[in-house]
Amino acid sequence: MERLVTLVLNDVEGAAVCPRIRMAVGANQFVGNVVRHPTLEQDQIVSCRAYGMSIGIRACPDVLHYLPTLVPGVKMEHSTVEPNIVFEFSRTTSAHGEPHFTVTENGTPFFSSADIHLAVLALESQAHQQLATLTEKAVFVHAGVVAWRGRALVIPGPSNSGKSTLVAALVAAGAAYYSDEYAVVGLDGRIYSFARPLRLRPDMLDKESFTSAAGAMSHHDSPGPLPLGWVLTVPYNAPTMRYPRLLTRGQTLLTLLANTVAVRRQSELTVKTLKLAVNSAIGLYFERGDADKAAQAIIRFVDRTLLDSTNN
Amino acid sequence: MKNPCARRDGVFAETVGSETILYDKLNHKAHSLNRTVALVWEKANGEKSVGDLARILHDELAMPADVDVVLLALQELSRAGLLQSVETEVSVQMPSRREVARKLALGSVSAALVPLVASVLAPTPAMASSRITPQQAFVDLNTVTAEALPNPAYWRSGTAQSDLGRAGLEFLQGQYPQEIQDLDGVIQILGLPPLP
Repeated sequence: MERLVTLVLNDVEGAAVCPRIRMAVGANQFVGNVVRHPTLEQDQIVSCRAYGMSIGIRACPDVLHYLPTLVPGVKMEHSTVEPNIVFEFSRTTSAHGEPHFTVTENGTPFFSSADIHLAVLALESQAHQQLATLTEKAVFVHAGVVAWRGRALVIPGPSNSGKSTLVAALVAAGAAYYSDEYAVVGLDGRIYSFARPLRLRPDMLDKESFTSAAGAMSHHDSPGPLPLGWVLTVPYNAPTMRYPRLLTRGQTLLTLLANTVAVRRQSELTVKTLKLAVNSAIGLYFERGDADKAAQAIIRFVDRTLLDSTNN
Repeated sequence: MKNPCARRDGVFAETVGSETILYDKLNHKAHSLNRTVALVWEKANGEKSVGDLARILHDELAMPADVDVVLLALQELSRAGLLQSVETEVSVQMPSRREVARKLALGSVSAALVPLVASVLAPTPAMASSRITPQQAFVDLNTVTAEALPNPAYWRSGTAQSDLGRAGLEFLQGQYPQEIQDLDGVIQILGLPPLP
């Protein structure tokens, strides 16, 4: 049984590292509002609530401090109730004295590595995936998103399909960063920011324009929702831009749907929500080469569509 | 051929502009039907003949009352798994898309009314997140081919043969998601075990 208590925590070295906090604790001893928790390192949970879901991390306090917020733009707070999903980030020491990091989800391990950065990325990725799969307050589409002239420009595609590179190139060209992972489509059909720190391939990190763009993107920024302006399907297939064609509204919806995480679980909600979103959108397909050139071509295209709609 | 009958069980429809989006909950595929195919899907109830459907297209969309347009629409529906049973699938000599497009153009009908269905496979959460590697795409193609070729049902299904052929071409072109989508079509038609 859980009891809500107020704690003063001590870290393993015995120094006070946390002020008084409120948290859920299992059947542990407590005295008034001060507890000496026997398994303190494994029992501290912080959580956040977003899109109707509550996700928490349980970890020892000194590691917890370095773990990411699980939902971009949403603060992690000490949990007063058990979250829907609890990730545990634990550190063990091998026989050779090397630290090892294991991530579990609701008690089931799913990633283990000696590299803390990889373990943190696995934790974050799985948390996002679960949020995208389980929420019924929004539709999560795998896509890069930037804002351009008050509208969202969405580039759907799976992980490692070049979305982040193209998003960085668009930001370098003046667009505002919204996400390099998910287009979050609200039930009102508008696109919400999911601005995790941009992930670029190592070879892209050498390019000055991309690093300055990535540096300008802060996951603490939470710009407001925007109407969907453009959906671009731009596979990396060609040395230069080729085969451009406009998509019908139905094809544009299918493009989004083919990259929607929870479509099988909540197909009607997904189709109705995406239908609302594409009502204001233009879909375009072309094969692209270099991201910088593609970004320039995209901006020329979207500006032309804006001009056309103004003239009409 | 029997009077065609569209499959509606497990399918829900939404209108998007002039198109109709169908989501097939049984096969987890989504389809975008242009107006012509949408009207055929709506009216094909097993009681109307191909000729009746041609007259309906003529009355409602001002198209020539040509059975070839209906046959092409039925072929598109059949390929998408939106006809009710195998018996009603199209088996008569089929007009080509080019032929129908030419006829409609001669009748001053918009090219947007040439029967067309675009389909996508709704991804699982894992599929939506991960990129398919060339190695995985190669293994999947080989697995499905090895299962399909000895299967007599494969040689009876033109749709399965065309899906598998297209998957091979898409593999060569590096279009792995499309390849997996077509392989999934073969798997469903033949009732093969799903890909791991």
